[in-house]
Amino acid sequence: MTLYLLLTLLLIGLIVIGLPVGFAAGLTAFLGAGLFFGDLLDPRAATMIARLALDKMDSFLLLAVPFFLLAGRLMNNGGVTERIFGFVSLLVRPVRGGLGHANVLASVMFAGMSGSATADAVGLGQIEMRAMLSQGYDRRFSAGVTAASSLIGPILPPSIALVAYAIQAEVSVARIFFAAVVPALMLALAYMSYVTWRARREGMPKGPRASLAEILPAFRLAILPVLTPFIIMGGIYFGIFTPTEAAAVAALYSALLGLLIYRAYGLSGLLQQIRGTMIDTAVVMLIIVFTSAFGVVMIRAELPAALAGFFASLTDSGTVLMLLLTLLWLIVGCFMAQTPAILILTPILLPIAEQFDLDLIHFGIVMTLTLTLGLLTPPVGMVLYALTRVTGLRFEQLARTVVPYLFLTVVVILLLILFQPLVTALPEALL
Amino acid sequence: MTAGPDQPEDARPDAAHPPALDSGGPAADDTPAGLYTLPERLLFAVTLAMFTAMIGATLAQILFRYFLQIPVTWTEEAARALFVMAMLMGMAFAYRERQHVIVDFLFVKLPAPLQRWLGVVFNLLILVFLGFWARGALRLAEINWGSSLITVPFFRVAYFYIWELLAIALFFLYVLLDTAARVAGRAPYAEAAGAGDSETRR
Repeated sequence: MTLYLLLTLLLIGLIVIGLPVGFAAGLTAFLGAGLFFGDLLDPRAATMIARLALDKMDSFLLLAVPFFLLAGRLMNNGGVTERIFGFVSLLVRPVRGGLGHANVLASVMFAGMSGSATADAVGLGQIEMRAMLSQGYDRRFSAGVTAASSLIGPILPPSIALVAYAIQAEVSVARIFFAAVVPALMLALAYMSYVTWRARREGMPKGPRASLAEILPAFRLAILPVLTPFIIMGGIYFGIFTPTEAAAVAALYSALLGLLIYRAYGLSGLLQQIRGTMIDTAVVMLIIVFTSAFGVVMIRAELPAALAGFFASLTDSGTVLMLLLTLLWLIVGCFMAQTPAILILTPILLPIAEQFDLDLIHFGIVMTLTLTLGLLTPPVGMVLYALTRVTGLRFEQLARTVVPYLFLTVVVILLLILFQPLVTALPEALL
Repeated sequence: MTAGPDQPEDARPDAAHPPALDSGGPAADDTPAGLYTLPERLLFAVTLAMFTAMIGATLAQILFRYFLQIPVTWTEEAARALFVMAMLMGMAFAYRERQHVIVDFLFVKLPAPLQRWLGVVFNLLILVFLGFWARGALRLAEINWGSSLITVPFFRVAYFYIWELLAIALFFLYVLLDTAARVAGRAPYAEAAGAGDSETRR
């Protein structure tokens, strides 16, 4: 057992020193299978991992990943961000600190199409920063809210991270998508409350109420892309589409918007986006297949059972277990990207969650949200890196601007842990 | 960690190796012209055609099932098969384009000579991994030679493993070329060809 634990630490160590995540997982999966068969060169070890890799990829559910990626890419390149931000800015113009609120609301809308924090930070972030600075908002405040609001992307459906969890944990994608809605809106509400407090304290600007003549044209421009999440969630909810088919329809809809309505790209541009999506998906698949294979090896070696025994010796409370694991996820999130961390940790931690009789949807949402925080924390903090160019602030300056939002996110996480129905009530009511 | 779209969603497109996904994944954007040789371009075109056909098969399934009310059995299996094959080769091309996800906050702080040699060590580890993978795929091709897909009977399951072996061979070639370039003190292979995002290359 110690050897398998060391192997897990080797995997994390290889990733932290810079070996690409998928290769590190693949190498340690083969080593683990060799250990399992008692000989690193046992042909059964290589066969087992090669078969697991191909079997894992041969899944219709997994096809949701490229379709969601493609839909997000097409929206990003279809001039959607300006339209969304223009529309919500008009709605909240009469509110003090209105562009701070618009920043969060636009991220909520964008999250319903893209599901990527970096895409939000870099794409929408540029527009938000430009607008906020030109209206006299403080640069650090603007950067903080831009960075923090991007966290909503990986939580609100469609979310690749949630699809990754659903695949690893073998739970319903539809359930986890609906379960993520309330937590994502809680995050948005928490950030907007902070914006309200700062806006009042610092006397931030506010503008005149927008007239219907201003709102209607902006609404017309924004409404079509904003329908995307409703197509996805509505299609799944009414049983019209499976999650993969809903993702395919969303991608088709995004392509038609960009090609025919906004004329943002032609057929060659579309092919270029498909090409980029293929490479993006291949990158994700390498990680998915080999972290899954690694997880299977660990399960066969009964490492999760041993870890479950360890946690059972510490506590018999599911809530305390969640709090302990949240601490673990916070630490892991600081050093590893969210999706790979979910893919590696889920097979190892799932048996523990099952032993403590935890709801696997609740477990997945809390894990995903907690790992998302790593996007805003040093040393990895990918969103912070992405925003340094957009905001003109240094990494350390940016890291300081997001501290209040990190604190608020931790409060939301604690609420979700303590009040499970915040996560599970919506899918239970609807599905 | 950094990323290259969403991806993507979370890290950076690798340079010794490459991006991060936050959930959306990395941003594999347009590859500079001239990166690929003619045979590579042909193989890439075949792979991209498979991926595009996978999209078509999935959309065809929706069209047949929901709009034309014609039940079809082949679309899902075809989509899955095309996806697997496109992904296997796509993984090798992603290496070529330095898009694989890395955590590089420690790596970038190392002195350049150490980065170079650590990059070589990483490549050797990747070659070991590819060796294991190829061995398993070869054995599976032998074992499955007699089996076929249910809805496409002429398609032997072993073809997947042969394609997998071809992808691993391409992967192997890229890693070897990259290793040779690093040992010789030249720019990493794909970098020399002008690939990748200069902001994120190692």
